[in-house]
Amino acid sequence: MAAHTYRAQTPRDRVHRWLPYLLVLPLVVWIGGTVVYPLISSLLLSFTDTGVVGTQGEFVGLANYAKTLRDPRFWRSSYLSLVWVIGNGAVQTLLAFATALLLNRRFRGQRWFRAWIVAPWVIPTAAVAAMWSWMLSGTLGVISYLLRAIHLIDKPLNLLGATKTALATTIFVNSWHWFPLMAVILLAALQTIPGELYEASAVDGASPWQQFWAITLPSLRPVLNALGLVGTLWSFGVFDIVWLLTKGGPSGATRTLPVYIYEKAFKAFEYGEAAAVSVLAGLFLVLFAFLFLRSSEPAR
Amino acid sequence: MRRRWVKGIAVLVSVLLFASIVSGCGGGQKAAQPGGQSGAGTGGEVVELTLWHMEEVPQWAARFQEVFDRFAAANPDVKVKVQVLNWGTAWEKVLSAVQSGNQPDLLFTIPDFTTTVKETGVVQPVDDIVKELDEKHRFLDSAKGPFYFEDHYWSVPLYGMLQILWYRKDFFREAGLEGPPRTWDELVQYAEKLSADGRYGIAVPAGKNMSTDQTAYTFMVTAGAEDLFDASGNVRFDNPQTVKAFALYQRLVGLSPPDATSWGWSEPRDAFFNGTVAMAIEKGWYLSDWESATGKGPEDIGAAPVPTPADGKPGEIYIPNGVMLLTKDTKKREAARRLISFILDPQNYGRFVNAAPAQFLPLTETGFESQSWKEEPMIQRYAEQVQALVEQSNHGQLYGFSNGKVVPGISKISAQNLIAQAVQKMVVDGLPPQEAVTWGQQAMEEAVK
Repeated sequence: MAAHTYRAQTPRDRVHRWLPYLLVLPLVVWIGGTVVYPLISSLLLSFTDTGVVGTQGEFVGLANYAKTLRDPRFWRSSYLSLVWVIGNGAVQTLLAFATALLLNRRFRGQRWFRAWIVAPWVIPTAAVAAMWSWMLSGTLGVISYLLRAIHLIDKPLNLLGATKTALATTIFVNSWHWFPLMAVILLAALQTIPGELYEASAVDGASPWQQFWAITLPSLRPVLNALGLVGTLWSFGVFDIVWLLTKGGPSGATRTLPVYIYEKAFKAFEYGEAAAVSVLAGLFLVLFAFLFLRSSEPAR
Repeated sequence: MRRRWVKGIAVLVSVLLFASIVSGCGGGQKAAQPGGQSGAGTGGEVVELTLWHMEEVPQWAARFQEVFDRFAAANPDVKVKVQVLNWGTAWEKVLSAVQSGNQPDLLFTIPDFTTTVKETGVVQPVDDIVKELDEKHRFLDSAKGPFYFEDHYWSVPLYGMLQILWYRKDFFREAGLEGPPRTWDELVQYAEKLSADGRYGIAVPAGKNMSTDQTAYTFMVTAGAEDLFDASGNVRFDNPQTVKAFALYQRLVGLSPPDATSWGWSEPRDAFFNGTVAMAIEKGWYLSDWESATGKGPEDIGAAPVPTPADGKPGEIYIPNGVMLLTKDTKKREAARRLISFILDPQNYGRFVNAAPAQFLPLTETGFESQSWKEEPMIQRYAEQVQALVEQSNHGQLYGFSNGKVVPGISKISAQNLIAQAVQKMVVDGLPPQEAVTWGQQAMEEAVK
């Protein structure tokens, strides 16, 4: 049996032992204060009947959850959020993929386009909303004016003020704002695919369509998975542009869950109930992330 | 040796970062002082008043600032620190500030906002200040009434705003119409007659916003449906007068541009200015940009009382704006009293109210008579239109605060724009006026229960 010898800890040893903890301590405190505390605070709040933000509520157990689950507006907003996420995912993926594939080709002005394609993304959301509100205005906007000028329509458009078109229009504006980010990421991923793969497949007689399905898409799968997860979570939480464009209207046609939560907290002054909806939405997103990660794991 | 130095620096940076985070948290506590009991101004020091207002239009805010600066120059022992918010985000910003103890000492307000902030417990009664200034300047009843509830005044009135019918005199002349419409029937007839060649007779907003709330309520007032609550505090939105007003509103939306269902404050004005519509119902701010936007003068814009039904009465929405006191500090209270008194002094009041000429109206007798208000060039140039606004000041009503009754739950109705939502049920979802009003009644009952 080997004998172990121990020596007394020197001050230097103690520094070595505690140094890693000291180094991460600020970050732990920061995360605790900005992530953990608000989460716990929201959870506790959801068990109270707090009304106006800043007032004290009483403990009501699960009453807020029960009321929320019975509220048809919650389910309607959940449905609209689902449409919002799917719509944004589809439109942004389509625009981003098309843009990335185009910019991955060599053509005159390619560098210029690559630089300027990010323009919609760098414009502040408030400016995007103001710009599109004006352009989409039926009476005062340029789009309606042009369409009338070429006799495609005979009366002003009402895209943001009609229940049938408001959500789709809002999805389009949000997608226009965000697709450049996705396009740039996809473009970067496209450039990592070795050219030899395309050359070899071309020698074997593969068409561009076959190359896309057999080489491009599988090569982009890890990036697409990551974008799918992050994009969904991100998109789900979008509040600003919806509120700025429609305030959840007309007649609730764009009242997605974030808008519903905001209205509960700051318009209906039902802060406790708003917290309960937030917790439910959070649980849903965690479940989604779990299932997404499970389903996107490569087969063993 | 070098590694030890690196480690030493790393530890030092780490400790400093930690300390900065901790001190940052402490800073939040310190910042609570403006609204708290302790703070500056003790023992002859300069008293610092933090003041938040929501008039974000740059020239309006600049004129307010001029008055605050003049006060500071005349009162070197008081420093006024101003922050400008906007009404769109005022609720959440102020309530969050109160929650974290960072509320200002003075906060500009409107009646329903007052009831909301009062629930947090930080608003202080201002009966003594209102009484003193009322004796000196005589507030309009419609201005001070909405701020009196639960046996106290919770805000000192500062300026009023009201809606009126704006009409394009040039279009009226073209159409052979003399004078503004006086009745609902005339309003519809005129709007129909003026609707031609891509022009719309009128623009009323129907978006989910305060603009729609206020315009629809104005017609409710003229129909006699100004009280949203009965004497017992029950919602009485669903009544024949409201249904009648909604039926008219439905008609008027039909005569407005098709996208009026998403319109708020600015679109009817823009359409009025560029000649797309001939009439609109709004507050006095139409005058400020009229000439620069259209190149036309006073002879082409008319202001008239909002038309009434045959069996109705004159009236419209009137919104008094005031200032709340959110500090218990006695020195700050005294400084605030001096500031408010300075603002309402006829020598200064005109300069303050004319931050937005005709949009902000005096709400004291001495204010209406003051030279400082009358000498403003726009007030003089558009005397006829301004006079129409002044005459209407006595007929103003405000939902939830009408006829001396204040129901605190009104803030939930106004913040959710439930009148506008009921309008949308009618003009967007196609419900008949009666069903839209019934929907509104249920939504309001749900909101205030």
